[in-house]
Amino acid sequence: MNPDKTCFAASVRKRIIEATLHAGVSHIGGSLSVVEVLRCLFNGILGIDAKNLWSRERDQLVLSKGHAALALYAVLVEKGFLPEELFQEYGQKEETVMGIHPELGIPGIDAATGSLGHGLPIGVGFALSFRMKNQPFHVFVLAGDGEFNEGSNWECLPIALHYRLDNLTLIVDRNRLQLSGFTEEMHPLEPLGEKFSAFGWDVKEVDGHNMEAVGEVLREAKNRKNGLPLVVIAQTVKGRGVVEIENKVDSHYCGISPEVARKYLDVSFQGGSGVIP
Amino acid sequence: MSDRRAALQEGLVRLIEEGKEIVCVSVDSASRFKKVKDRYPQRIIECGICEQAGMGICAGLALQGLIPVISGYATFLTMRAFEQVRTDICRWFLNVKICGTDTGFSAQYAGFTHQALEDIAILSTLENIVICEPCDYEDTLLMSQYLLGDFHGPVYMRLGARGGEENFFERHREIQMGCFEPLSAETFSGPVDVVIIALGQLVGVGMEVVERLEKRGYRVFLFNARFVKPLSVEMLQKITCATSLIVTLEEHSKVGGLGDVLWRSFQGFDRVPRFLKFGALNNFGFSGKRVALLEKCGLHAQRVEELIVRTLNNGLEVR
Ligand SMILES: Cc1ncc(C[n+]2csc(CCOP(=O)(O)OP(=O)(O)O)c2C)c(N)n1
Repeated sequence: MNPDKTCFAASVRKRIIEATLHAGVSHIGGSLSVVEVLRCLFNGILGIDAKNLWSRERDQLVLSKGHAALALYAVLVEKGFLPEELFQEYGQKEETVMGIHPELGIPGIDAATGSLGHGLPIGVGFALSFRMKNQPFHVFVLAGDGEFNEGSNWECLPIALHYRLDNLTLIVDRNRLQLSGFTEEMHPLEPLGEKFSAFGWDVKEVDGHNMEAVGEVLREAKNRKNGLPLVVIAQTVKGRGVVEIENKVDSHYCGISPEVARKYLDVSFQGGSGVIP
Repeated sequence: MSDRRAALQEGLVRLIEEGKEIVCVSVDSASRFKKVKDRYPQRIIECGICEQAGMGICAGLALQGLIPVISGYATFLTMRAFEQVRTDICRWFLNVKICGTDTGFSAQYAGFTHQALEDIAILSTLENIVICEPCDYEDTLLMSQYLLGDFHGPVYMRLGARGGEENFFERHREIQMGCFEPLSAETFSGPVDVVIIALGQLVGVGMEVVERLEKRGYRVFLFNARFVKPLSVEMLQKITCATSLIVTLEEHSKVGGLGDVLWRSFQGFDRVPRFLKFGALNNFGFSGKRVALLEKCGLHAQRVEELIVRTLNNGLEVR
C-alpha cells in the first residue's frame, strides 16, 4: 500500500468532517462513502490537471449523487484545483456558490446536479458527444444506489447499450442506504448486478474502499474498447471512517459533535475508526 | 407536404449544410427528422420513448458545444421532462432547441393525452427560454434559421401535426426577437379600434375576423404573434397606446398562454387597453376534428367577431 494514497484519502475525510463541524450539518454519510472512489478518479484516472481544468476537451466526471458534493469539493481542494478560500465557504457565508449541490462555475465541476436521476442522462450526452466528435475522452458518472430508484436512470441503460458507449463508466456507490432507510428494506435493488447484466451492460463489483482494487477497476474501465457500457458497483459503507455514524440511517444528513470531530481531526488520524487500511 | 413540420426538417438540413453542429434527438419521434435522417443519419440520436433521459442527454450534448434539437409530442416533452428543462437546461442557458409537435388541437382524435394545451403555461414560468410558434411553412423556415441556428440559448418552438395545415404567406418579414410580425401593414401604427394577435395557425382565423370587422367599418390591425416569450416592451407600449382593445387567439388554454403572458407584461404600463383572450377551455378533454374542437372552444371567426363588436360597443370586457 502506497502511504500517499491513504494520506490523501485521510485528508479528504478530515476536510469533510471539519466542514461538517463548521457548517453544523452535511450529507456526511454519502460523502464519506465515496472518498476512495473520488480519490482514485483524481489520482491517475481522470485526465484532469490545472491546465485543462476549464476545458471540455478532457475526461468528464458527473457526480450524479450531487448531495455528496462536499466529498468532491474536498478532493478538488486537496488537488489544488479549488481555492482553499472557496472551500471554506461551504455552508458558511450568507450566500455562496459552495452550496450542498455542485454548480457549474466551480472549478472542476463538469455538471450541475442535485436532483437525483439527472446525472446519467447528462453523462450519456457527454459520451455521445465525444463519440460524434471523435474525441478520445472518457465519462464517469458516480451515482447513489438509492438514486437507482429513479426511472430516468433505467431509461439510459438501453440507450448506452444501443450506442455501444464504452467511453462511459457508471459507478454505483452501493452503500445500501438511502435517505430514510436501507435500500433492500424499502425499494429493493438486488440483484443489482444481474439487472445491469440483463440490460446488456458489463458489470464489475469492487470493494469501494480498497484503493488498489478501485484504481485497477477504473483504469481498466477507462481503457476498454469492447463496445459495452460498464457499471462498477462499489461496495461501500455509508459514513465510512466515522464509526459513530457508519452504516446508520441518520448519517445521511447530520451534524457531528465537537468531541467526535476532535477524535478524527487529531493529527495522528489516518482514516478514523482504524478499520481503513 | 408543406406544413410546419416539413419546414423544420428543411430548416435543419440547411443548418447542417451551413456547418452548424446540429444533433437531432428523437424520442421514438424520428419522423420529425426524416429528411435529416435520410441525408445525415449520423446526426440522429434515438433515445426511445424516454423524454426525461432524452432531455438530459440534450443538456449533456449542449454542454459539449453541440446544438441538440429534440422533437416529439409537446405534451410529453414539456410535462414529463419539465424538470430536466428547468434544472439541466434553462438554469444554465444551454443551447437546446425543443420542438414540440401536435400542439393545440392538431392531435385531433388522439385527444386529451396528446393535446398540448398547457405547454406555454408550464414553460413560461422559466427564465431564459424563448417560447415561440411560427404560423406556417415559410415562417417556420425563418424561425428555424434564426432561433435554432443563429440564436444561442434554449428555445421552445411549437409546431402542429403532420399535414392539413394552411399556408398564409409565401414570404414573411424578418424575425426580430420578441416582436410580433405585423400582417396588416409593413409596420404597426395606430390608432385602431382593435389589435388582434394570433398565434400559429390561428392567424387564419385572425385574417377572417379582420375581413369581417373591416366590412363593418372597424379599423383593425393583425399580428402573427411568433413569440410568446420574450416580448419586446417597446413594441407592447406602442400597441397599448394605439388601440382601445387587444385580442389574443391561441390554441392553448386560456390560463397561462399567450394572453396571460401578454397581460403580465402590461404590469406597470400607464395605459392598458381592454383585453379579450380566446383559447381552449380548461381541462378540455374532447377528441375530434381540429375545426370541430376549435368551434367547441369558440375559436372561430364569427364568435370572435361578435365578441369584439359587443366589447367595442358597450365598453365591457367579456370573458
Ligand atoms: C429527485 C430527487 N428526489 C429526492 C431527493 C432528496 N434526496 C437527496 S439524497 C437522497 C437519498 C439518496 O440516496 P442514495 O442515492 O443511496 O445516496 P447516498 O445514500 O449514498 O447518500 C434523497 C431522496 C433528491 N435530491 N432528488
